[in-house]
Order: sequence, then C-alpha cells, then structure tokens
Amino acid sequence: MADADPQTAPQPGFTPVSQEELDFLGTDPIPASAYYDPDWYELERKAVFLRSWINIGHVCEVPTPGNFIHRQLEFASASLLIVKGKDGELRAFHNACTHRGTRLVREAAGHRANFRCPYHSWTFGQDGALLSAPDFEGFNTTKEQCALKQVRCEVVAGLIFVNFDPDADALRPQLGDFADEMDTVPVARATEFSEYTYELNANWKIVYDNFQENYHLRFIHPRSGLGGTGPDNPFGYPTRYRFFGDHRGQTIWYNPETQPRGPVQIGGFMAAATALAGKGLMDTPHGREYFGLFPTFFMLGNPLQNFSHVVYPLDAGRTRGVIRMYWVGEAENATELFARQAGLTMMRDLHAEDIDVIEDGQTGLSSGALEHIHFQTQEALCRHLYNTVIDKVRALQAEAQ
Amino acid sequence: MTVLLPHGFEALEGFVDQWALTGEAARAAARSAATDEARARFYEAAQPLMEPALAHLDAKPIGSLEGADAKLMRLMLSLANVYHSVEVLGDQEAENARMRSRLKFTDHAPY
Repeated sequence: MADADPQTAPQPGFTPVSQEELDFLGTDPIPASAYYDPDWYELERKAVFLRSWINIGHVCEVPTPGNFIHRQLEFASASLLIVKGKDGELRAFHNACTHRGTRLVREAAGHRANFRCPYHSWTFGQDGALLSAPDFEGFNTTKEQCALKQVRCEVVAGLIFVNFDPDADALRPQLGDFADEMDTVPVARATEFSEYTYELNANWKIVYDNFQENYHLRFIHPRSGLGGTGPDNPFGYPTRYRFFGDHRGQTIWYNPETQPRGPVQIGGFMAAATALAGKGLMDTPHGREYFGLFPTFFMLGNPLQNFSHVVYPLDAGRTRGVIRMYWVGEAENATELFARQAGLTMMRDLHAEDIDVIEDGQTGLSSGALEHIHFQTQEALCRHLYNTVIDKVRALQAEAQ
Repeated sequence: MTVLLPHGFEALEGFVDQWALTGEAARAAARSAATDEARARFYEAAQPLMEPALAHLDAKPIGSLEGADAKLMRLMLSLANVYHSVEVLGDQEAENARMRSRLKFTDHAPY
C-alpha cells in the first residue's frame, strides 16, 4: 500500500521517523574539531564552497537587460557581477577588469548598458565581451582573450546560484523531487522581497544546523514558535525526511490546534492568507516542505513563511547570513502591506532567539573541551550535512594524491 | 493647526512623532528603544483602530499615500512591529531586542 501523502494526510497521534529509517546515516559521535579548526575550514572552503552551488540572489533583482547585482563572496575572496544581458541570459562574472584586475562596479546593484573600468577605460558588454580598450594595439593579446572571467550561474525556482567550479554538475538535476516542488512555491514567482542580514561568531555548520533540527524549538521558541510543537509532538519533529544526494529536506509538522496569540497577529495572518489566496498562492501543494540545498541554502514552502536563509562562511568561526521573505507582486493595498510587515516581524523575532545559543555553542566547541558532539535520530539533517562535507573533503584529498 | 492624521484617527496623533517613522529599520529601532510602557500605550491606542485605519487606507492607491494617510500607514506598520512584543513576547521582549539588534534590515520599504 502506498504511503499516505504527508502534504494532505491528517496528523493525529504523531509518530516520529524511526532510527531504522535513518540508519544509513550512521550513529557515531561527530568530531568537534570540524566545527572550529581553521585547517579543517580551509579544506571545506576548497572542497565544498569552491565546488558547490551557492545562492546569491533572485531573478527579481535583475528584471531587465542591463540590470546587475554585485555580490562579495568572502569564502572565495571574490567580487561577482551578475548581469542580465540583452539576449535575456543571466551571466555571472568576476567583477575584475581583465587588464589589471580593477573592480568594475562598487554599488550593490544597478543598471548599465556596459561596464567601463575607471582606471584605463576598458569597456565590457553585458555578455562580458571586451568592447573597447584605448590604445589596445600596444597589448600582445586579443579582445577575445580579454573577456570578463565567467563563473557558472544557474536559476532554480527564480533563485540565482553560482558555482566557481567550471566542471560542476548542473544544479537542477541534482535536486530530485525538490526542483519541481520548489517551482510551485511563491519564491519562484516573486517580484520583491524583504531582507535582513547578520554576522555571527560561529562556524557556518553550527549556524546552519540550528535551522535544520526542531529539537530546540520548545526550549528556545516557547512563545514565538507558533504551531511548531504540540501535545502529540512536543518537540515538533517532522513527519518525514528526504535526501536527494547532497541535498536534504523535511516535511514540517504543524499543530492543528494552534491559535494566534492576539488580535493583531490574527489580523495579520488573516490578511496575509487573503492576499495570498487572491493570487492563487495559498493552497500550494508543497507548503509543508523544508528545502535544504547543500551547502548553505534552505527555505520553507509555506506561503505564509516563504523565506530563504543562506549562510556564507567568513572564516572558521564567523558566518554571514541573509534571510529574505519573498513577495509575489507589490502589496495591492494597505492591509496586504500591513500583513507583510506583521509576518516579517514574527520571522525576525523568531530568528533572533537563536543567536545566543548559536554563539554559545561555538564558544564551547572552540575551547577544545569536547572531542565529539552527538546528533540524535531527529538531528538527522545535521548528520547528513556533516557526512556530505566529509565526503567532499575526502574526494578532494583523493584527487590530490 | 496642522492636521497630522485623517479624520477619525485623532486619538493616535500623540503617537506620530515616536511611531510614524519611514522604513523598516527605523520602525524596528523605535520598537526596541521604547519602554514597555510606551509600547503598551501605543498598542492599546492603535490596536482598536487597526481595522478602520486599514479600511480607510485600502480605499486609496497604496503606491501614492501622502501626508496624513502616509503617516497613518506608518503608524499601522509600527503596530505590525510592536504587536509581537505585546501579544507574544511579553517579558521576553528585552532579551529578544538585544539579540534581534544583530539582524539588520536591508531597507527598501516603500513607507
């Protein structure tokens, strides 16, 4: 008999995913040094971050030819320029003039017909081609050889990913069922977003792991974690886990008895649901899914909480994070704008509550006091992330030998 | 005398200076900087007027609210900040404010 569809099946008397279903991930303790050792981070940087697809934005930021966004990616010491060309193609380039490396763009975003280096006026097209360079005859090279250095770029569900590895496999085929499911989430049709960012004193895996286990919900989010836990499921564990190669997800359990806490919260939820329903976005088929794309992207499918969260390592013990709530269309009226703000407030307050435990976890591990940390059955996604990182590092080491 | 807010919402005029601020970052900062009493006073005054205020504003194009209407919109957006302190966080507000100061808005809100 086929399993009941977890998207629509009723959830009385919650049963957590069993250890037997997750045995393939192993049960051993995890070496703590992987969460603070700079030498290990350097291996991760090369084996994971310079070879994986990293989300750096959304197509709504580059709607018309000539639109560009500029991103600094510290793990690669890279400044990237993502440009929509006249042909409608999105391309990513190193933001470095091929003459002597000067940055072409300083602003975070904008619109340009072409990109002129301020230093010696080399000028590049939206496709990266060198269009003109004063007194170019004096160089012993060709314009073709001086095009901007390109970086792989791919769009999934409206989200822009880059990869520094020219030989990397395409992202979409890696994602299994996630790819088509993500296409049904509002983010795939988003036209704008609200954003907040942070820098935390913690290793990127400590930050990311916090957001892929529910074990902490009842302790850290007792009031703001609305509907995440309940008598049938006191820890708010998911109804299933899914793994597609390096990528992983969970189907979120919601307490059906959840009641908003006050009239403004009720009004905000109702207004948000009404606005989403009016755009055909409320009854999306994958609203309970958590999509975790290796290494550092995740988002919820819930149209009321359609946020993405990306972490970017700065070094072994520091991480930058970018959280976005995506919106489809401009708010059509004051009530929708109010609802968006109410949802944004709730989400930011919820994320704020995690900050102390993330940084305190780093402090404890960085002391070297622990040889190992432990993941329980329902921290399966954390274990899968660690296992995947180990696989990547071993593959790099094997290539080097 | 300068009319600060649309007719029917005069009860909120005493809150304009502190709460009718432009941009997500400014409103979030005002919420965190306020005392519990100031947040409670604003919430208790603004919450009962939430539905009529939004109904008043919904009758106008959202992209071009000006003057008194824009101020009322900003007050409602501050209510959409402050409610979470009053309705949800309660005595956890101070700790939350300390930690959420680490989460910085990239501000491009229309109001």
